[in-house]
Amino acid sequence: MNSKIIKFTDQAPKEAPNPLNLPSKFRRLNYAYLDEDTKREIRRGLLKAVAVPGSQVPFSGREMPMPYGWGTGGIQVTASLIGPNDVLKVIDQGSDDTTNAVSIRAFFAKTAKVKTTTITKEASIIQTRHRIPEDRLTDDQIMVYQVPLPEPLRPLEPRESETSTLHALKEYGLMYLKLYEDISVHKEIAISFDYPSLVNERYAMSPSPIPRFDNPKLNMSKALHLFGAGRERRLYAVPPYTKVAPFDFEDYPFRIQDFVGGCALCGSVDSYLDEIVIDDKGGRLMVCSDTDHCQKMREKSGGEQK
Amino acid sequence: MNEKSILKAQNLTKNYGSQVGCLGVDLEVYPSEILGLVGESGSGKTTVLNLLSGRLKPDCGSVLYSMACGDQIDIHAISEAKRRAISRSELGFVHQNPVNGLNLNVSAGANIAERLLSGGERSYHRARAKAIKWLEKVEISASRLDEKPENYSGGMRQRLQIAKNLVTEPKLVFLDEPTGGLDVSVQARLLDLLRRLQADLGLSAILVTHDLGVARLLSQRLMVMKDGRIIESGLTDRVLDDPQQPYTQLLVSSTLEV
Repeated sequence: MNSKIIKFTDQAPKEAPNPLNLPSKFRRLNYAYLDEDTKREIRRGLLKAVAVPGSQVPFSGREMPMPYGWGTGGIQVTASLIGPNDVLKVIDQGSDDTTNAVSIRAFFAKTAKVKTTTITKEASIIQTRHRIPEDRLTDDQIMVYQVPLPEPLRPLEPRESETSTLHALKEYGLMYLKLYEDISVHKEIAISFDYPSLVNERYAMSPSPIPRFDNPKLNMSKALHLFGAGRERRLYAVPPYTKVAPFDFEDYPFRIQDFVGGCALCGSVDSYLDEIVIDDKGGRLMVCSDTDHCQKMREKSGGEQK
Repeated sequence: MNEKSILKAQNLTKNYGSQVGCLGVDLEVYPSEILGLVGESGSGKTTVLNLLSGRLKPDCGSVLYSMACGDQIDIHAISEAKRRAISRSELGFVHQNPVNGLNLNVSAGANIAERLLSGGERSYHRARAKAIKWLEKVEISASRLDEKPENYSGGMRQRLQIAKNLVTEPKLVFLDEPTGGLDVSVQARLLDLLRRLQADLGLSAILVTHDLGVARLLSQRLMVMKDGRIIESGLTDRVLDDPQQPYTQLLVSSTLEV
């Protein structure tokens, strides 16, 4: 067999590859990949972000062994938090078994020697892109979000100097302008994901590209939510038990997406559904996007039937 | 005039490096009057307007504004937050080029609603109803409410900009060459509109123009600027019919007769 294929295991390798025959002190990667100074800087940034909920804190984002857009911000946050006793879950679009989720789990299994899981309840850190798990989070869990565009005002105002002034003065009229325009054109608020919200009645925040279905899960959540944007080099946070209110009009209130019928696999009626094309004749299935939740529901109903 | 002024500027001075923007400008605006500011290009008219509206910081001098609630504030001494709040509720600023005063990426309705939404309006229907009302007031058909101003003609854009500024019923409006760049028939309609709105709402305004015809038609008092200073001021008819300063005489005699 080809011996050059690197095998990912839950066991950390005894020694990192050493093609240049470097002396051993240069050879080993630091625990959880990032050097301690970088982790320290990110932790300080996160403390500030938690202290001022929803406000964006700049950090000096490192180059990561993956391209921007694949979760470099989230990985750096996770790397600065993770310890040997943590249990890590990574989801991408709600799923535990997509390429990105599998790779990031393997990355930390290898570099931080942590246990990984796909079960929401077992995880102490959940790194995510695009979803918040359907299961209620607890107060000993941390959610880490991979954020592409941290600035909620950016599509409306291109100048950074101006957006930071607007945040400082809590001037969010532009946000309502966007909603007004949506209703005039589409007869409803047409933001289906990354729905801007006001955190702790003070800062406007982009909740990263989660569907607006998940916005209510942020409000008064027991878990700590940390957001990392690698390319834009920004950190922000929603601490536990913090108000997160979506922007809306009193006569056009915020509402989540609703689905006709439940999940085709587990029958769940209160979860976010993905449309899966199953053949080339237009056949479609609506199934849970949260694979762990779907699995659990199927096991439960299967158990009852037996 | 024993009435209390709505805006009072004292000793306004602004230099751009070694260039003089304006020098020791004193002026007062009284309720429901339009004050004209004329002079050639580069005489400091726009500098004065920007200083008065708080868009530019003076090197020295003060601008005192009497708010709707009766308090008097110095536009340049208050916090940025308060200045911005006042600028979008009690003051208006009509740019010569409507592109500078409008958001071309959103509909006309959204342009008018913007000030209301920034001021805390949280009802879509109320904001929209007011946008329709003001669109009609500036003689634009309500059927064009959801159109983007890119599709509007120059005259319509200027009227939309006026609606956008007046929707919060400001007390004082700064007009920077509001009829510049429009053809004469469109100018005439716009001037009619401005006169009517001013009479209906009891607006005060400061009008910057180099068109003496526009100044005569709109303003009650006139100030003439040259090289950053005010060289002559008085009732518009007096200044234009009996100019005292040589420069004003030149300005008045340079106007083309049709």
